[in-house]
Amino acid sequence: MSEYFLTSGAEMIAEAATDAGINFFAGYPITPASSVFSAMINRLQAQGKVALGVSDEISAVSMCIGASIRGAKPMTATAAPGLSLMIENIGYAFATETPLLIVLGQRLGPSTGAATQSAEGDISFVQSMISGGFTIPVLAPNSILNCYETTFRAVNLAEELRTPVILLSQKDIIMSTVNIELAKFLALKKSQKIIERKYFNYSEDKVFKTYDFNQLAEVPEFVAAGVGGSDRVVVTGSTHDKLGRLSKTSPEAMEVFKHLRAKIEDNIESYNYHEFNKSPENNSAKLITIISFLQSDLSAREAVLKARTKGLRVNHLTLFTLFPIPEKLIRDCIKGSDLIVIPEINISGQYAEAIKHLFYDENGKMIKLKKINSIANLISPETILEAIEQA
Amino acid sequence: MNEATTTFKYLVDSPEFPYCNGCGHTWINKALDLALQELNIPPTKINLVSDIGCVGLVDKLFLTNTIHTTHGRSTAVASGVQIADQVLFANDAIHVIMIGDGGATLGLLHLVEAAKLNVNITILLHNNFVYGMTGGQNSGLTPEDFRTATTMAGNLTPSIHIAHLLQAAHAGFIARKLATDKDLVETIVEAIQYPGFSLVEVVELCTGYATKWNSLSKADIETILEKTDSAERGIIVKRNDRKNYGEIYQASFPKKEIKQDLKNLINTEKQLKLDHPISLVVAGSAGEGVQFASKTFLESALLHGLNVVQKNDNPVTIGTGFSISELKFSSEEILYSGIDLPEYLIISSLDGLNRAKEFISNIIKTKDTKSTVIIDSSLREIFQQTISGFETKFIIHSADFKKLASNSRSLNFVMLGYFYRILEILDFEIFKKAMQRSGKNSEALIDNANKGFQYNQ
Repeated sequence: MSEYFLTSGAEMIAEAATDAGINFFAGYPITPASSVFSAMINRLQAQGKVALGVSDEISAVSMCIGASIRGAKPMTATAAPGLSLMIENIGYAFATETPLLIVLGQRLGPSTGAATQSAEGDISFVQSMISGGFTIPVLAPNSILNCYETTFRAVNLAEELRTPVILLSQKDIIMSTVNIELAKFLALKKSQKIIERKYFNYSEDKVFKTYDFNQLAEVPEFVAAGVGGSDRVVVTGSTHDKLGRLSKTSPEAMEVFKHLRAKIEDNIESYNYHEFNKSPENNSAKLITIISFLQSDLSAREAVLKARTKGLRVNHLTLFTLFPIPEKLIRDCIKGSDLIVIPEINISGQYAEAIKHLFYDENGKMIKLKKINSIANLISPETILEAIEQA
Repeated sequence: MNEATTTFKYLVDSPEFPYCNGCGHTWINKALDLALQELNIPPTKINLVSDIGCVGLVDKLFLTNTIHTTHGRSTAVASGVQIADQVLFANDAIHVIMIGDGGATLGLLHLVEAAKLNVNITILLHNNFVYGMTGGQNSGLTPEDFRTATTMAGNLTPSIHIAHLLQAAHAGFIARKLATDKDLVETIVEAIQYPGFSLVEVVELCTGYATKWNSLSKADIETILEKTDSAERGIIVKRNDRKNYGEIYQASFPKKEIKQDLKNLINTEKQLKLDHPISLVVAGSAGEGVQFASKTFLESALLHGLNVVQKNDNPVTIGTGFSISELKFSSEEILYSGIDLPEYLIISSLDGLNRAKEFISNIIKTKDTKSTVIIDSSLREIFQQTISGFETKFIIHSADFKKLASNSRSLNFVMLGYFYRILEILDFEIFKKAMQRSGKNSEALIDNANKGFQYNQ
């Protein structure tokens, strides 16, 4: 007989976050992120690491940023109303190249919306939060078990790229319960590796600059503020040169500006987490490619299994990295497709809209797109299958 | 480096203070420099955290670490730096926040919170009564009758008395000085040395705007301060009865190497094979343990060697209205967790019935479907009306489950016991084990579930 445990997405996120080295959590309660908040309080306080509830989401994110500037690995969790309050300082974390993980539990918007109703309606919202035209990495788990691996990756990514990262989840993943096989889970845990931010090593011929890089996409080496020693840390969210001096539009400041974009966008190949399940059939039937993520991905998997038993040619691309858009990956995976199907739980098909400019074949001919949307309810495998069959 | 004999430098060589002539900020910068010289701490162990406004220009002048933040948030950012420094890294860096009256207004809650937590930071509140960088508008600290760009006829309301406000938040050290006070340096030294939250409000002049529109001789300022009920000066509060947040935190949550242990491991007792996945919706009222009973049931299904998933729903509050759990169990891996057409429905209250109507209507609409409904007899009549004309699509089991239950929180256990009975394929002894695992009151739970299991129509 096998050993199992029952767990929720919130627990898996917290488990991964603490395993990946998160040691500072500041939070403010909001459904459905409160369960992540509680799970982090339980874990970090038991280890003597920092976890506390504060007065609002602005305090939460600001304290996390301060802790990160001091060298901690911080995390907070919220839903769209709280994210709205955090955005100014997420921009600040981005501009100051401060690692930070924000877990977003999606629920039905707009505004307070329906707090206990799962949804996938914050995709466009998180794509364009940063003033000036930047995108921060957004990773999205597709299941409760996958919350572990995707959260672990998100923590690593924040450190590696020195950036805020959004873990985009949703109520039904965070708050539902499933069984997980212990042996399988322990193997998954063991396979993870912690990546720390790169620290600056003082040597005679190296001068520390808070925002130093050679190539635009290179990530600056880090010194913790307040640790003492010979290196002075200058942190600013204002347009700055490599030393962190306020410099409006000087050539060096503009280089830093371009660097902020390049380190996220140009490194995407190293973190375009995905699974591509190619059709085993190579008959002359129409080729359909499903692109899915979050909870609808599991429905898509079921639909793909059923479609293939009917002899249909279906490719399936699961995305765990939604932003920046992994353009090359998507272009490669849709090659030869006659139809692309994208299920997502929001009214307009937000991700489909964000990537449809990629849907052209080699001859410049547009590939047909079928969006499957529901406002709040899960999209069933049958609904996806129907769309495939109608192609 | 031998710190005892080294004299550190804090200001850049021949600093050019980027403030207007006569601006109090210059005085405060110089006083801070002298205070730091007196303390003689390595500059890279000092974090100078600045807010938005003219105060934010300070990072060009000082050789310490500088963190220039967003407007009003300097206190919260510094609080994060300080707590991490003390608790995680056992270090004792110095944190000085340079904030204006505007930033203090915008970030008032952060000041209150830092005072309440007693974070070991020092706030230098530059109070010149206006937003200087943006054109001299009124802030929350602008005195009554004061003329600003946005209150040219005189400010209509009194200012916030920051010292009183922060006393209410248990601030340990509060001082109020004029920028020109000779002993400002000593006060700043004392504030930095204070081992908790300290704030020095420095009243000063904005020569760019405030002095143009207001008569601001020293006597005028005294009058303004008195009139706004804040004539107190010098160190207003210094209490030594509170530990700072880091100390309290470390004492409460000492560092421990904890191997993350996965709680409640479950050894499956059987390897039951189902010929199809089973879906069950338990629909009842909040506060009646629907989700708890369902989770206990879920554990019993897992003990049978089945894969399981539970998805819950309730309105915004958890104490009123409906509460439902959607459960699936299967020998195969469960991908899609949704239930559109439940094979079984347990309806334990009117709230539950109303919420379950969505499922009932799906069943009615969909061809070739049939569901088994377990419902309390008090709801039987309403249920019959709901399915009127489609009776053949439902197999109804109705009984006085409420009467069998020892209390409202046990009702769903009674009904799940009954579900075990009609499902036949699950072993009730295993359900008992799951209830035993759930901890306290397990005997009562088992007793209730057993009543349902043994029920004879």
